[in-house]
Amino acid sequence: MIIIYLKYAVKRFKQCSVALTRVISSDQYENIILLMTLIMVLLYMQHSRILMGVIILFVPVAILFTRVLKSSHYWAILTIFIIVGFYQLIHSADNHTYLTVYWIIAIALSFQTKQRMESISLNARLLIGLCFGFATIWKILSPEFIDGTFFHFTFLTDPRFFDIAELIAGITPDIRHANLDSYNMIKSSTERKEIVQLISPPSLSTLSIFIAYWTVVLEGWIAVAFLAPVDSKISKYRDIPLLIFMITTYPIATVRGFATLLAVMGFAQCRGNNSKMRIIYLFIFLLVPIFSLPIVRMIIDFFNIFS
Amino acid sequence: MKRDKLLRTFTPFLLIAVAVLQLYLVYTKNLTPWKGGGFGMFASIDRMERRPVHLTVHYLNKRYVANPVQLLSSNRKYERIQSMPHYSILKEFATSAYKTLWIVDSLNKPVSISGDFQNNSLDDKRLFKIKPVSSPGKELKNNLIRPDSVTVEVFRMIYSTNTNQLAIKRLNKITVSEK
Repeated sequence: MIIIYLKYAVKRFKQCSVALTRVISSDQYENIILLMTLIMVLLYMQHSRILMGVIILFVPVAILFTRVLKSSHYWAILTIFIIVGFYQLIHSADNHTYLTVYWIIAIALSFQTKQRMESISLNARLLIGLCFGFATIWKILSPEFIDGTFFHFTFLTDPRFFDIAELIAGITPDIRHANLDSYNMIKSSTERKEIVQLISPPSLSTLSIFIAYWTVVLEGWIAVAFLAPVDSKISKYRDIPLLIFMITTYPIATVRGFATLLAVMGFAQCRGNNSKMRIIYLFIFLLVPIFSLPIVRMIIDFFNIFS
Repeated sequence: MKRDKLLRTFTPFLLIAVAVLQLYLVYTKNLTPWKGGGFGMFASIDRMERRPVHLTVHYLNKRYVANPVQLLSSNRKYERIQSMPHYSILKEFATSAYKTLWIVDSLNKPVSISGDFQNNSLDDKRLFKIKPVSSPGKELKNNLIRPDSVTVEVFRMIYSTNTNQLAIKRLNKITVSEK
């Protein structure tokens, strides 16, 4: 019965893929990139009142009317407002918010060029490459990352990593509650603690170092692959490390805005008739909300049933 | 053609310029690696939210612990102090604390705080000694504190995997007084 269902699912998936390939390979490709960008802005960029106002006023109009969507004036005005709104947050904005602003600027400027799609595609590729390039440089420059301290500490105190810490290092709820109490005490501006003791299982050090090296290698691979000349061999397979990164990172560190942006830019940088990759990026774009599900928690609970 | 090339490559160059500036600010002005558009997130434990800000009010040879959050009108200003605690930002904040009239929290109860700061695991044993007041009633006037000086310190966290000890290290300190 399960096999029949699986066969049917595969068949339907193939049919959907063929239909999508037609759409994605056509003139609609550019419209899809612009629409994906606007949907991402609408969902994940309302960080301040100004930005919220601009986005709610401007973005739905272009989503509804193709003529507005493809207007260079529209993108110029949207970009100016987003830069003004973003400036208010410049001290506290996350890096993916910076990257989103760059991406919108790149689209607006591409509208002023003769080969618009070429320009959008080039910018998508370079922005991904540079983002991961600087991320890799930072990790190499940071001794506390290379020696595993960063992940060790993160597994002990960052609630986003508690489930994976339980799965791979056996950090129990009791240990993490004790660690969180100590951490909150030293973090407080009024408790005035200068030193606290955390509890950590011995196996965590080795695991943390392994994950640190894995991250540097993967992010470095993405940077090199996306910044290398497009005709080179490493550039030809550049989507592989990016997809590995997205699939292995975002179900744990649920930064949905960044995952969506990478899916949009990944989709936009696919050159020629690489429609398979475009479909994969499009699926990831649509499935990003699933990353918010406690996937690791579900795995732990699943194994607990049988243990 | 040149115009086209410029338009096509402007944004990547903008990213590089901002990222290089961020590197400079991290190493010279204590900007947290997580902020500033340099893509240093998930590289250091020195996150903005993990930087404790200590505000101490000095009055008649006594030191009072104050909650810095109470002085600020928005979380964004507090984030600014945490993300890049350089001299001018700290001086502005310390001066406003110095000009503020404070009062001993005689009830020894937590002073109300809002937003994300509620997550700081507050219990009933308060360390808050004083709180700011704008228009004190007559009955409170004897308890008022007009600071002799105010000290603001910003710290970062340091973690040792050998000892599993989490400590704080001062990034910057400023004292503002009448002198």
